[in-house]
Amino acid sequence: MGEFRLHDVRFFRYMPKAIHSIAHEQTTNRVAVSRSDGSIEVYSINDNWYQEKIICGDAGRSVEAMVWVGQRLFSAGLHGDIIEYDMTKLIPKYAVDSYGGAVWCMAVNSTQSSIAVGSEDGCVRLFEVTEEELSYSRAFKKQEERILSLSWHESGEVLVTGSCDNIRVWDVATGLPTLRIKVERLVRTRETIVWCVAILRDFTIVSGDSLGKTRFWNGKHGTLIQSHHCHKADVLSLCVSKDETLVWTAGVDPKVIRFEKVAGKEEGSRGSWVRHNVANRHTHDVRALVMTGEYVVSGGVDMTLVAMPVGKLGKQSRNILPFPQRKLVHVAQTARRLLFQYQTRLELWQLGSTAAVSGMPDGRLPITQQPVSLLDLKTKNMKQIVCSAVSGCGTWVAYGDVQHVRLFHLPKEEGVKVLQRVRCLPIDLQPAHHMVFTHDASKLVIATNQGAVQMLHVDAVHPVLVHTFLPPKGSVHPTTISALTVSSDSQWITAAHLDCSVHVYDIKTRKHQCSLPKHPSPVSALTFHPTEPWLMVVHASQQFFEYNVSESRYTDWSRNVQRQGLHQEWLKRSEVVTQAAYNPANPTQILLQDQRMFCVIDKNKKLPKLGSTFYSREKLMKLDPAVREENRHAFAVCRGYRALLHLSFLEDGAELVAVERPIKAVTDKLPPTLSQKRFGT
Amino acid sequence: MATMSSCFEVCSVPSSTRLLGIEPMCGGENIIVTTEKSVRVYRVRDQKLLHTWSIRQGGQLTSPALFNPRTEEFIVLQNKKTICLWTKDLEHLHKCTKVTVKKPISHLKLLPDADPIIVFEGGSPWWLASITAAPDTAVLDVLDIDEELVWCDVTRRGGGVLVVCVSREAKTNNQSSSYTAYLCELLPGNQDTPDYQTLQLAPPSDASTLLCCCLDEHLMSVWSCGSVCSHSLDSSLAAAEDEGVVVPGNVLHKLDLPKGGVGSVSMVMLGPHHVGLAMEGKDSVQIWDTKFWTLQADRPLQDIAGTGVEKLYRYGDHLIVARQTSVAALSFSTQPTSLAAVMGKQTAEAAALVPQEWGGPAKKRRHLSVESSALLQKLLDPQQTKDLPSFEQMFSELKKDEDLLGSPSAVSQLVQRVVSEDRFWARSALTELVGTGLLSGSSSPGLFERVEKENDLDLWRSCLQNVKELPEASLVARVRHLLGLDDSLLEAESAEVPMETAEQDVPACPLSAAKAALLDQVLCHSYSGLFLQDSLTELQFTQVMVFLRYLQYKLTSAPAPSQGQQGSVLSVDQVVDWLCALVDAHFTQLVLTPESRDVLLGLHEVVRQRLQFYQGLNDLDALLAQLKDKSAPLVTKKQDESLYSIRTIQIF
Repeated sequence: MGEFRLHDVRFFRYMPKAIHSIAHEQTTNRVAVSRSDGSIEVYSINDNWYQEKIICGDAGRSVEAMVWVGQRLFSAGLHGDIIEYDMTKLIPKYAVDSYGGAVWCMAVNSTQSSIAVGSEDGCVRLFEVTEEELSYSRAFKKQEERILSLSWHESGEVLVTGSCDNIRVWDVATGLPTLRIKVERLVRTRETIVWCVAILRDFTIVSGDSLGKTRFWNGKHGTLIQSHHCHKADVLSLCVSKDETLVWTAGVDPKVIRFEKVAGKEEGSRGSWVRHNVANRHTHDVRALVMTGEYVVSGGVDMTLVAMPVGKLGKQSRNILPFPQRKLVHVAQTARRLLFQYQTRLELWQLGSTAAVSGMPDGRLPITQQPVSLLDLKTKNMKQIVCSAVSGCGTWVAYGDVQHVRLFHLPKEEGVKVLQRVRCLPIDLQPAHHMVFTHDASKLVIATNQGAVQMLHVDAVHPVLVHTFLPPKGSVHPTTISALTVSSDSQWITAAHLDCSVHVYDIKTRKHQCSLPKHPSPVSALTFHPTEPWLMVVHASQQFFEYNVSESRYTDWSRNVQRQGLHQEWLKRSEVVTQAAYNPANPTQILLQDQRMFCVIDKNKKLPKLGSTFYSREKLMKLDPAVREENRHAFAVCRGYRALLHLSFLEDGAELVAVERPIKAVTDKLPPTLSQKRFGT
Repeated sequence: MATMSSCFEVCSVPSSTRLLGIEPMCGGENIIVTTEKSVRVYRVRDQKLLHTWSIRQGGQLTSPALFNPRTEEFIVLQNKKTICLWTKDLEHLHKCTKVTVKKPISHLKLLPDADPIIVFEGGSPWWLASITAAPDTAVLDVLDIDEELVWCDVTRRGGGVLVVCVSREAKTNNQSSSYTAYLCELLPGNQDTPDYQTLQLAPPSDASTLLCCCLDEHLMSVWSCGSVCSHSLDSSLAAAEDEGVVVPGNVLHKLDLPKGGVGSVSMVMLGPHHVGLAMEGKDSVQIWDTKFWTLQADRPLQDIAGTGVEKLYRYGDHLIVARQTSVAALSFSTQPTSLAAVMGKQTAEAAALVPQEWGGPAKKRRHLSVESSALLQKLLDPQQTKDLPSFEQMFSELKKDEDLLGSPSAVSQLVQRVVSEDRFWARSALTELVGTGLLSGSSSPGLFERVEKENDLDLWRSCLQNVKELPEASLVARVRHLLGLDDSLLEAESAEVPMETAEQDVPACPLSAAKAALLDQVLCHSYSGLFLQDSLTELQFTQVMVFLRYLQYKLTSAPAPSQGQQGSVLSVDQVVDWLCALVDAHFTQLVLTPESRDVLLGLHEVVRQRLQFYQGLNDLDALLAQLKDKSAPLVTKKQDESLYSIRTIQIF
């Protein structure tokens, strides 16, 4: 299919953050994951674990607990506020004081009418969830120790809390404790912390504590039913299956242990909880554990989100890499520059080069010029960056945080590298979720947090807002834009929304051109053909379409692909395509990239037959050349990456830039794990 | 092969009543334990008592209770004439269904998937159903009046059930009693009085009595003389008449019965080729293989309460042992027997292999030709080769046979002959024999002693090089010999051995160079420290001192530890091993004797120097390890891990 010169870039030192809490939303099967920098990611399990939204964190905000009330997401943390988020703009909507200092835990009752918050002062407070906001209702009787965990009984009349040295059962109506269970100490001077607690329908209380014990209590009499000492260190989290026959616990020793309720030997006798199996999917502390029905989702200090299927044997558990499924790297194709987007800073690099003309396949070429760092830009007040962009000529850099868009100019003067911030940005410019420069760097296209697209004329002195494209009326609420692209002739803008709609706007006429037929899965990557008005749309379900924007129809090739169907091997990939690009030199080649592989699709080649072997590049390399020719197909898959963050063509189409962040480089920087004695060491 | 696990007690039996028997509860994991007063059901797995039924005062149970899974009823005999039937929901036994017959019943029998059978004391078997339907049926006695039913069992044959009853006819005039087996085939649904056939069981020897039987395809019986006999139950042999055909027992095995005879033996079939056996007087259960009559497993029962074994039962893969006051269970497993297994040659792989036909040519074995054997015999016979010339002549003839000097047994026999021959010294023959390298230290005792006696140093060295696996005692004996050797004998040798140039701080070698070289050869042999120490105690104290000095000298001059290979150069670790063994063996004497003090102090000094030296090496090692840690990324860095690279990639 071709020979490319590949730049392997591994100096993007992006550090993902540890997972602090996970919350599951049942009706739409979504999972919210909070990280140690206060950011929250929302994954849609039904859409192949597509990372739909990222709510940026803030330095002054921590997220210790999250609850979903319907589609509304609430979080609380050690800063002492309960925050509801605007799920379209992806910013905090409002904050309510917890009235009790740092919040350690939060839970919603089964009717989703009130939220109980356990805080530092030892008080459980109830907040009523109203249509508009969260209102403080009342507080329970105060206890001495901070409340670290709480759980509602299904009836909503009983609440159980865990704190230092004891577990209390509360009557919600009176706000008084009805039962106090004292948890023993191992060392007299060291208190035992009940990190997690759950109450089942039959009033069995499950608790996990800092002694590493998982205990089952009779919640009516406060007697211990069973105690399992399975963990070597603190049990930090637990979750219960819907039918309440399975309990998972996890903690500082990175084991996830499953307990199963076993019916008694004779009828009527009490069932017992039996340790069932142990999963060792993590390397570090597991902070959060959530049952989603189909999966047990766990996450912790090792940053990777692990989804273990429940009950189904043989089904692989799935690791979701800790990197955002969005563009963190931007390439200035002409200037051969790379823009790296970290959480709170940007880096601009000049790519290296080689004098060698060609080399052995897969062989290294001597580097004549090493990459040079041109720019290291920290955001003001350490605000987290939502999106960024660099123009093709490499002289314009823009980024957006939750409030502002900022534009910088890096004049191409020899010797002098002065970065100029473009002030006086138009006041109507809304906060951005995505941004991209047009090919000629004359305009900056911004996907705003209200679902509109704004176009800014780029000028070092006085940038002007050219136009704001609003999505066509039809949808009541504006939805978040998940992908944005501009055609290379600067005629078309396409924005894909999370409600799966894709709108194409004509820049010249400043009108909405057309909307693509809706596909049930959201769009994860978009790109325009370099010369034709063809739009490549890749969905989270691994389907892709090529759409002729001017004629409002799918291209013949795309129809052909759909008619023949995509190969099973392609469809069952777990990662979502995050980037798509046409080869500028040979537009019959389309590059698709996800975090573990990239693939070049050649439209001239035959498609792989359904049911035939789907050879990847690595497998084809090992084959005999004659056989290889026979088995070639349109999909040239190159596997073997662990967190490939970016892959794109440079301007000439003969060079590729691959930015990889090896997961091992990330995990090597983690703090040491709980030291455990292993045989022979 | 058969194995038995450890034994566990299922239940205990009150001493006031007698255990009647144990029956498996078909279709379950329970057993029914019947005593004269009660019927109990136990679960074997956890020894749990599930049900108990007791009989009222005055009554007595006379047969083990059965459970008929077809009707889910328990059946037991009360006072020999009443058949009690009840289900497990019944609370009191006196409320059960009772059927009383006119004649006493001896046995109740039940086969899986068949109806229960009752056997009257008169020997006639009936289906239980037909008796309960008509209790007044006239039952004819099969046995004669002076015959007594001693044993009865049932087995499946064809579509029906074969009932085998063994009766004993007591003879008045001190003769041994005679035994008759009555075979009777009951067909299902057949209500008539069945026909029977008789077989006369002939005792294997006179005056032996039948101890027990068990029924398989054959009737296996154990007699008081210890014989185990097998009687064919082929009905074609049996005549329909009363005068049964005498079936001589095919004596399979003679058991080693305790002296004084045994009152009872219990036997149970455990599989097609295994029986469980327990006998009075021996407090153990044995599993015997019936194909080869070898004892496969023997398990003492000391850890279970009670004494003796009343009876054995089989229940699934458990053997139930009924003792006088308790019932115990032990699980067993049997594998099909093969000759290899009996011989103890069976390996795990072999067990899984299918025996193969040995059609190929038999493996060629090395046989000496007839002439060679004759020659060898002559050579070995002191009478036929009385003097050296005749011996050497014979030997040179013998050498023509290539095979002979390749046979280790022949070589060692010849060596024995030469060594033990006092009249002449066949040195050349012995040299050649030793040169074959087929001798080992254990197969040639006296070789070294004889060579040493002849003061033949060349041969001695040759022996040392060629004789393999010298025992430690022999090694020490060589050391002793060397140490006691006069240096003048070695003068010729010393010219050949290059003298080590002694350095300034190294003490001079306490032995002459030639002696030291020989001693090194001895010390280089393989050894085990433990045995070495035992043997070293044999050394005389003066020799110990010399040896100790020598070892101390070697410690200062020997090269570093050898890496596994057994070279001819003595290395430090070998020296240290010998030193340890030597000092350990003579420690007390060394400490008590004043003259050893200097040597020990010197040795200690050397050891301390060595320790310091190794301490220094340790430091160096730590430094180098640190260097390795530091430079690890440099050394192990894979090309792919570099931060930036450009490569050509082919995509297809």
